[in-house]
Amino acid sequence: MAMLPLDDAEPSRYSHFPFMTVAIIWLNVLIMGFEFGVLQNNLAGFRELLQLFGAIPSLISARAGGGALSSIIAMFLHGGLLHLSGNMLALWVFGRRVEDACGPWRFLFFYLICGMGANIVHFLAEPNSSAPVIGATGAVAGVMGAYILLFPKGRIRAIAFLSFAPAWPCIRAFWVVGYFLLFNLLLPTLDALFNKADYTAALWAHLGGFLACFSVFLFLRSEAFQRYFSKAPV
Amino acid sequence: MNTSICFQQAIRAARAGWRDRARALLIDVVNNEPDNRLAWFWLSDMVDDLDEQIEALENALTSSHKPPEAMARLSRLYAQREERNKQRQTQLLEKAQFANSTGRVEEARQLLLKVVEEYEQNEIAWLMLSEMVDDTIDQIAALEKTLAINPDNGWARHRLETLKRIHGNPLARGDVYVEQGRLDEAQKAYLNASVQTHTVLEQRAAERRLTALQKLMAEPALKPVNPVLTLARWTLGLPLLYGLMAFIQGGLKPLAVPLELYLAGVGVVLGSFILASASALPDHRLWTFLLGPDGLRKPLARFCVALTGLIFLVGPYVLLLSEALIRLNNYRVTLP
Repeated sequence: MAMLPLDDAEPSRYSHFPFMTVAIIWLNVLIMGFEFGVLQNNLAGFRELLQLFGAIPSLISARAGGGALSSIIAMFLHGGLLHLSGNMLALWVFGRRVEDACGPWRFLFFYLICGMGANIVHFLAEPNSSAPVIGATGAVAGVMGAYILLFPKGRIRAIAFLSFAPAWPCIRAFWVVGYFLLFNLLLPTLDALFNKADYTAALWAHLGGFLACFSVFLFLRSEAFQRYFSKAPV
Repeated sequence: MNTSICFQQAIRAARAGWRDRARALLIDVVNNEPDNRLAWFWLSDMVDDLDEQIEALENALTSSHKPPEAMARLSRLYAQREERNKQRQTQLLEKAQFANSTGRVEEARQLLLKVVEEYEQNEIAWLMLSEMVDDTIDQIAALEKTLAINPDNGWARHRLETLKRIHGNPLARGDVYVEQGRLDEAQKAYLNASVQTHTVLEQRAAERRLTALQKLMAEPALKPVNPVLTLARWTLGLPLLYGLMAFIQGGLKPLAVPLELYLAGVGVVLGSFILASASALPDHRLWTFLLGPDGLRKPLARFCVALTGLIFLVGPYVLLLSEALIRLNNYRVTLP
């Protein structure tokens, strides 16, 4: 069975336009365009771009390379259109209401903390790896985690292929996030543990981003925080 | 009995220490001769009540001859009365505040009414009263009285302007009530608005707000959250991000993080605190102390405080990223 989240079925409470979510998506798309531009000119240039701005655990550990700067920029680099579109779709679906609960600027800082948390967990898990880590998946995983924390009963419009015919069910967000965790974390981890499979996806980074979702409580609007602890819908 | 003999007897009684007898005789004397200043003077010594002492002494000093000792005593009595009044006002205000905080609003209101009746110039009592009366006109009157006593009270002025704006506009009044958490009154205001409106658009707006309010009322009551907790939460967020970045910059070894980045971290905490407190506690006494009674209500003050916070905040991040940039350039030249 394949499933893809399409849209958040529930309205925002505080703001009408998810300014920061849209800005982050546009920034990622623009940087992807830049990557394509570099790639079209020469492959070596692209490799250099990844070496300089990808987050490379061995360089970080050795205190070489761009350090914190590379870690931030790596969050906006992607390895292809599929990588980018998957992340940005998830950000669009889950990010809007989280941004609504935090406010645009605090949401930006939350997003960056999730990305940083994801990178740190990856660096700690594989300190000697020389493969550059790129992508917003860690940060997006954090946003998804925050969505589940804040809106446990939220519903997501998804497209699901149960057989040949697609369906557009409106399902609870935790099923969608559970599906993401299953296919992005649990199965690859088991595969890597038992079959010694070698993954290019930074699994630890995804997990780190997901764990960083708890920092959302530092950024919630006052009323959203009050609602959360009063067990009222955020 | 002759007034003069009566007065003589009163003096003798007073000298013998028979205060009650002396007082009774002196009262007889001043009743018969209200202009007998000496009798008033003696009486002022024989009465126990502070107000009666003052009254007697004032009557004794009505003539042009004002002995300095008597004047000094009158001044002392005035000061004592002032002190007593202050204490009494404070006690009544504290009682009213306690009654209000324990839900006995009517009792609090009565206490405040007593204060303003006895001490009309008590600014705090009028201000508190403006929050405890239900009717908008009464609120406006109480705030106008507050401003008449102290025209520099920015908070009262701001509230008075808001009340004048919403007075006669039930929709706006409902909005203010929602802000204040007075949902039943907000509902009444919206219902009024939906009946009183002149255009379809206004009626729809009132109905929309009424629907949203009814949804809100169906939700469980929100537990109050201390604004200091909000301040702490918002203050911690940005230093956390800075900490993670510095941790990465230090090669995941806290001891390898350069000292200047640690020092700059203090700036991040300070900047974050300023920004957070400007948002979470705009009425905090820190701001009224620094910026005057209006605190952070003026847009210019808000802008200046936000700018100060941002300067404290941006500096350390720029330092950290510039260090990362230098390292990136060094690394770049080593690439083949």
